Amino acid sequence: MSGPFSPRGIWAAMTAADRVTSLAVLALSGVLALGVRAPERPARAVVMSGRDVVATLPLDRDATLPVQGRLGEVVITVQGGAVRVSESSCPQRICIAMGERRRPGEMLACVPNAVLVRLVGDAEPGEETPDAVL
Amino acid sequence: MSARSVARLAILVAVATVLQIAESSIPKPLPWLRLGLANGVTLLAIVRIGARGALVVTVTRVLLGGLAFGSLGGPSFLLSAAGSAAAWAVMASAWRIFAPPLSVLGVSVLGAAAHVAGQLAALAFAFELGRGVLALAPWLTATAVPLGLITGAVIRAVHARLPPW
Repeated sequence: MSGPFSPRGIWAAMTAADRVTSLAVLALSGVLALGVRAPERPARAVVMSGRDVVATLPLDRDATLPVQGRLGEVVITVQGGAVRVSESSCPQRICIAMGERRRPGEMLACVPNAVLVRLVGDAEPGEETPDAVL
Repeated sequence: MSARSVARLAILVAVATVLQIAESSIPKPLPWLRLGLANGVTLLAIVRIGARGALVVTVTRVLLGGLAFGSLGGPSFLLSAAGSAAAWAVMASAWRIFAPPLSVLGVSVLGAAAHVAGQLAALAFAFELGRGVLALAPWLTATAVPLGLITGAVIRAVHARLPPW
């Protein structure tokens, strides 16, 4: 495709300074992507059994925590900035199948054991990302 | 102010307002993605009648757009105003200081990026959405380049075809 509004046509019309400027803005977006990605404080996993908070695990430190659930033991593992249920005494192991979670507002649950893992961060869950921009 | 310059301003305001309204009515794949042709008229005004006239065109266009949508003073109006004002300031300065070697295309890219920055700043501070909204910044900044270039190419073509005023 050619013509003044095709990518090739626009590229041909750009001066060297235009090209440098455009690349600089793209580079800026890359820098922003890296900067925004890093959270101020790592998220924490709040582990609950029944109505009680059993432990609060920061996600930046690897840890393994056995929790006494209603049916038996549930093992919560923090590894590489993510939390997952690694072992469970429940029949269907849906909690293990849920995989890992790493962002504030996310959850893991072992319903038969009444064990809940809730990720919290600096902001309230709803504030983490905008729902809409007008 | 001569009748001639009043007429020029009026034409630019009319074109910018129509483009702003038309652009908002086009369905978009993502709500915040917009070509920015109304901003392009700000650039055209900077190039043809200077920064001060362009400011008049931009302010009037934002106000008329707000009236047309009934959003005057509302959140989307404030966002539009913040983005348009930032784009005007950056494009007017860039055109004055860096052109040449920068052409309309490069200035348009800077204007698109400034528009994004102005809107994000308004979201982060005026609406106190804080850090969450900054997660959008990389995407918005990246899309500003192709969108700014397309707008710039359109304005370049229009500028070349319009007779000298």
